Amino acid sequence: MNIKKFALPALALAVVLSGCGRNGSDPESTSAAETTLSTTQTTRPKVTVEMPVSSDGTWPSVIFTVPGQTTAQSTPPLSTDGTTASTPPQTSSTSASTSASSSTTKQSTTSATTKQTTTSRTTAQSTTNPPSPPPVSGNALPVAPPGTELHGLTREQAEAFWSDAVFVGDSIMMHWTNYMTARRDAASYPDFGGKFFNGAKSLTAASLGVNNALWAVSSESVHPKYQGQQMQLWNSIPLTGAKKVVMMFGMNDVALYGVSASIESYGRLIDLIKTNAPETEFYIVSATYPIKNAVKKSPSRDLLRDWNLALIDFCRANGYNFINLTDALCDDEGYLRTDFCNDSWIHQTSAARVVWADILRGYAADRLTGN
Amino acid sequence: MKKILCILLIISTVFAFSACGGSKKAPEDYAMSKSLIELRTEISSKADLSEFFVLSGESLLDYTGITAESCTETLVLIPESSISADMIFIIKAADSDALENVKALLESYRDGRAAEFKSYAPEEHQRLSDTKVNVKGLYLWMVVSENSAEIEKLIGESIN
Repeated sequence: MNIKKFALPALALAVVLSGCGRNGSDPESTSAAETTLSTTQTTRPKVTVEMPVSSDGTWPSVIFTVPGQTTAQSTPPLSTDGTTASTPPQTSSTSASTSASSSTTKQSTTSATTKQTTTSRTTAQSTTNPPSPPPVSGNALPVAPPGTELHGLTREQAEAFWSDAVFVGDSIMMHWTNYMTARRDAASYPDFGGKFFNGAKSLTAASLGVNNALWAVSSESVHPKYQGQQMQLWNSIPLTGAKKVVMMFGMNDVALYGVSASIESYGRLIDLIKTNAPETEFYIVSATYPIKNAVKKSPSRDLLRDWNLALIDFCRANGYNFINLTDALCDDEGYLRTDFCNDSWIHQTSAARVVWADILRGYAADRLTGN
Repeated sequence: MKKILCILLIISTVFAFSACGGSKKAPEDYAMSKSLIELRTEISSKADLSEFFVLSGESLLDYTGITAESCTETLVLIPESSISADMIFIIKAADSDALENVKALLESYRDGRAAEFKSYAPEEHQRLSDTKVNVKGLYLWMVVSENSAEIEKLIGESIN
């Protein structure tokens, strides 16, 4: 066989083969495969954490190191206004199982527009007969929870009190704001007619506390985003146009920084907000408790109760409004009711949010009618 | 004879590989083969959506910064529970410029939630860190779910 005779065809074949195939990242090219754009991840400095645990299960001060620093605690990051914050310890904890329970039943009817698809649901929440006030345990705070009586007002009239409010806080507050937003969808919740605490805004983030709320904005900070942009609360709250700020903090503060230091931070945070929004009214919501024998021991119920007691004094000294939501959610031993808990720890179910809504309406009704 | 066979081989090879590369389809020409209602129903067979709620319009802007003007179709579902990283975003951008902006906002939303979970729910943090924004034509989708691979495939195959 004369190999030379096949050389030219083979060369031609090689040229043809080399011209085939395209770049798979071109979204206009392939007809079969999905086009996936790889996304860049922000590189975060690795933080090593030493987590000594005391015999009673509470967390002592956290020792951690950040690359480039040799001291046990990092230099506090500076915010843009020059204020400094407490050191940013990070906790490493076992994840709790989550099992959400719902107090709603879902109907199968659907409605859709070109922009939105929803599934309608019924709700178990009563809007005409508010429930009786919950039992108060021996661990109750000295300021009782608001009543739930509306004093002749309708649900919408009472909720209107909060229409110029922004709800600010941690993951527990975030669930409330998600709950609120969900029920404004008339197709999904026809019983509310598309109106549920309408007008109220939210600025919430899991892991947010009064201490890390003072940090500078960075890839490590967890400041709530305002329309997609992360910013410190004293910059975002004025943008919402809110005249009332309803704040809930504590669970991400007291075990790491202690009650006193966190109260100081709370004061600094509010002062910063008042600098940019001087006419704002502040409503401080008590921190809610974990269930008894929670899977995570920190923060403990007793520490959070100490925090709430300190908050009451803080509000009295500064003229802020205090709302005791905690005791309305507790069992007779002063722990979060287990049927209100969705993670065997401290986070709450939608059933608990029914109590939230009743308490907030009742508080509003008291204020609006002078009761 | 051998020369003829070689030429025929080359010609047939040229024709065989001329199908490589696919069609030049503009991003605007991609469309969903099913309605978003149908797609949501199919997704619900792969994920429990009973505790999820819809973000659209004002709520979508508040939560993510994505404006109504930047998209023509949306199906966005997130759980009411703040301790779940699950999410389903399906968005058709208004045009190629909006596409890049929406993609950046989706990534920012994902990264923000990941940062929130970093200290107390590392598994949720990792799920978010492993999530990417998919693009096909003017469609974007981002899924965090126990069955995210199946759901992403379902969405991708619905766009042609």
